[in-house]
Amino acid sequence: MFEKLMLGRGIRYYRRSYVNILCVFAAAMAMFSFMNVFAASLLNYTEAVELPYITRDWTCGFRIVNAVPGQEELFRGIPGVRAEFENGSICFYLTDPENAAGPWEAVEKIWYEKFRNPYLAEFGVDDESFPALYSYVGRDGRDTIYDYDAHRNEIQTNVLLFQSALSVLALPAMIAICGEYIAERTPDIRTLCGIGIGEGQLGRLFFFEAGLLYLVSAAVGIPLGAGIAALFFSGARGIGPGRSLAEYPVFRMDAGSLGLTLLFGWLAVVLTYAVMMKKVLSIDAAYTCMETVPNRRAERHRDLYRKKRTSGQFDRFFAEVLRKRGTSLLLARDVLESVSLAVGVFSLNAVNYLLDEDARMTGWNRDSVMISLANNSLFVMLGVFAVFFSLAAVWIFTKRHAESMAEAVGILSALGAEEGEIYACFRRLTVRSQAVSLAAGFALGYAVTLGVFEAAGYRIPVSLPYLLAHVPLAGVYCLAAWIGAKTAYGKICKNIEAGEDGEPIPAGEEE
Amino acid sequence: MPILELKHIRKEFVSGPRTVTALGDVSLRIEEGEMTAVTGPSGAGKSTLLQIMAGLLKPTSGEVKIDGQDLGAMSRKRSAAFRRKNVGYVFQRFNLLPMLTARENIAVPALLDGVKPSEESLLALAESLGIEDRLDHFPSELSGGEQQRVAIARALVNDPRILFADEPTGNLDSGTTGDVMEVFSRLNRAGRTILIVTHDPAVAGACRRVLRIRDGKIGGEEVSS
Ligand SMILES: Nc1ncnc2c1ncn2[C@@H]1O[C@H](COP(=O)(O)OP(=O)(O)O)[C@@H](O)[C@H]1O
Ligand SMILES: [Mg+2]
Repeated sequence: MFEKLMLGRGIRYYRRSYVNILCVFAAAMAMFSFMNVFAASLLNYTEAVELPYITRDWTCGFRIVNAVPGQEELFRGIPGVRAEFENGSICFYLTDPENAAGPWEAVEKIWYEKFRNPYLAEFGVDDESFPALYSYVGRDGRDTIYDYDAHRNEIQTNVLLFQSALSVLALPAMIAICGEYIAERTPDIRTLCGIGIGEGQLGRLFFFEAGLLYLVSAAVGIPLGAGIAALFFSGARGIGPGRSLAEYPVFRMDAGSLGLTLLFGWLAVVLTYAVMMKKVLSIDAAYTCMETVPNRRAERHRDLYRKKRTSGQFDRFFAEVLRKRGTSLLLARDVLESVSLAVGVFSLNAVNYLLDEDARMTGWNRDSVMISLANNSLFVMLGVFAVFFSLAAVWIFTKRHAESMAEAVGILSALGAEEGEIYACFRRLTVRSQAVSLAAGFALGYAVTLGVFEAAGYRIPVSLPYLLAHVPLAGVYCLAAWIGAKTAYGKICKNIEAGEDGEPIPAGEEE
Repeated sequence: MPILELKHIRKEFVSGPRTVTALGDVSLRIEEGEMTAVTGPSGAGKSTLLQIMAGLLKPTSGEVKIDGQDLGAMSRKRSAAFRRKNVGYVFQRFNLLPMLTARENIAVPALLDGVKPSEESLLALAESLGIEDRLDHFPSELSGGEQQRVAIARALVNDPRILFADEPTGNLDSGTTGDVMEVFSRLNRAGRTILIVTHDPAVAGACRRVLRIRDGKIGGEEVSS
């Protein structure tokens, strides 16, 4: 009753925050769904590449490539043709090469019945233009021959690993956006505590909310992620001369990929919820505040500020003052930025390492780079998600950092600092923290890269394209910092509420 | 047995390197049915004292007993339930939930107990405070005085034994102040124990007992007849 009332009204009242939260949550769900659907489809694709196809051949009459030993038995007893298994193919030797039409028809009939039609049935394809190349018969056999099971495990393990790695980036974004929301709702929570809401009731309230957010973000995010994955597999893809996967239904979204997506999404939501609850339960009912703390040192502070201001060291000194408050937020942002940059550096080298030898960025063979990138589109997409989540989190932390400065900015402005001067302090602060976190990110990224790939014999290529690839990597964060400074800090500087005279200057900024 | 008893209450706030002593060794007893005012200069510790008495804030040391029960010994969960039943608190800044209507705000403490207050009882409560035609408005659509009366109704909905009010008239004009004080007096005549923090001599004058707080200590007490 109570929960229903609070949820129903709360959603309408705080709809702007809910939309923000949903964006981040749905992006996380989209990421998980993309990864899993991509993996399932990739398995289909890998199999499609090695499915049997029938072709004319000049050594024998014609042949079925990628067949399984034993399948030649199906063609025994056709007059005028001898079927042999050789090097992974069934070769058809015509006993009378002048008279090929009859044997070809007989072979093609069996091909249709035993190879192609079962495949069509399996995938529910009814298009008659479906190339008579593929078969589904004997997949189990191939699974063992070509070690598909191992391959499957490898792909799924990789996807799981990437998913976990990306969750590391998605979680701070989810937690940060929920932290924003809790900060906004703190007065309400405090009031409820004052009225005597129990811990369990409070927990249930937020749990319902988390569940609702999960459902909606899954409903939005899963189709989105699967849709992006479908895009990757929708284009025709050459897999050899004259063959294409255009009509091969490679895209697959099965119960397994859906289940894993839901599971990962739920884990992320529960983790976020746990962090959120910790915050919520630490809010207590009392309304106490510092506002009336008498501060005898205020005058001394005031003198100090004035001296610094007249001596022209304003921004250097005050950047320091501002840095001292909101330190934890700034630190969180810097750490996050460093970590995501490190992930970026690592991914760059991972892609480079996994690309075909000749497509690595050591050289600049455009075609092969493009082909390899297309084949490694998983990495490309991972990069996109990673950037999204890091930027979202960096942005939220920047905003909160700016907001935590509002009071200090108010005091500075009461002392006569102008908008431009205060903005200069922020710029100084941002430039410095940016430089430190970029340097730390690159250092960390290369340490991990060397640690992982050195053993595999990978050498970091020193070439222009490779070096140029670092520019967007670092640039994205610089851009985010710049936009953050312009908007979040800029807004605080513009909306300065000059503190009243006599307002104490909180402690902590003496030299 | 007094309904409320404080023994050697101290409250310190630690913020960074500094420790602020908001209350230093306060002991007092409130008998059932008393209407008491707590006055004193800003920053003296009035709000802190009231919140400790109501169990919203834990003292650094000392003992708070309501109706013989030690608040400090209770778990967070039990103390919440206990407060819901026995304590009504009117906050200095109303603290209505902005997304709920006046009616829903008033009902919240009952809903927390899993009870939906009956329409008649809500209306009777609202009528006694003169807000019966404001029940379907949101807090943002109410004047300060109306919000305050909604807050008082909310504090009363569970029929608590003690009512605490932190500067309930601080944001009201003198006319509305009179109305609100009239409500408090009426409640007190009906036997309810009431504690009011106030700056306003007129409000303090309406109370039989007045406690003066200065620098976190009880600096004096007046009892009129
Ligand atoms: N959270 C807090 N941290 C530090 N000091 C506090 C905090 N809350 C209150 N105080 C201090 O405790 C003293 C008493 O505050 P309060 O009870 O709000 O005073 P009053 O209500 O009488 O104006 C004040 O000096 C106030 O600054
Ligand atoms: Mg107060």
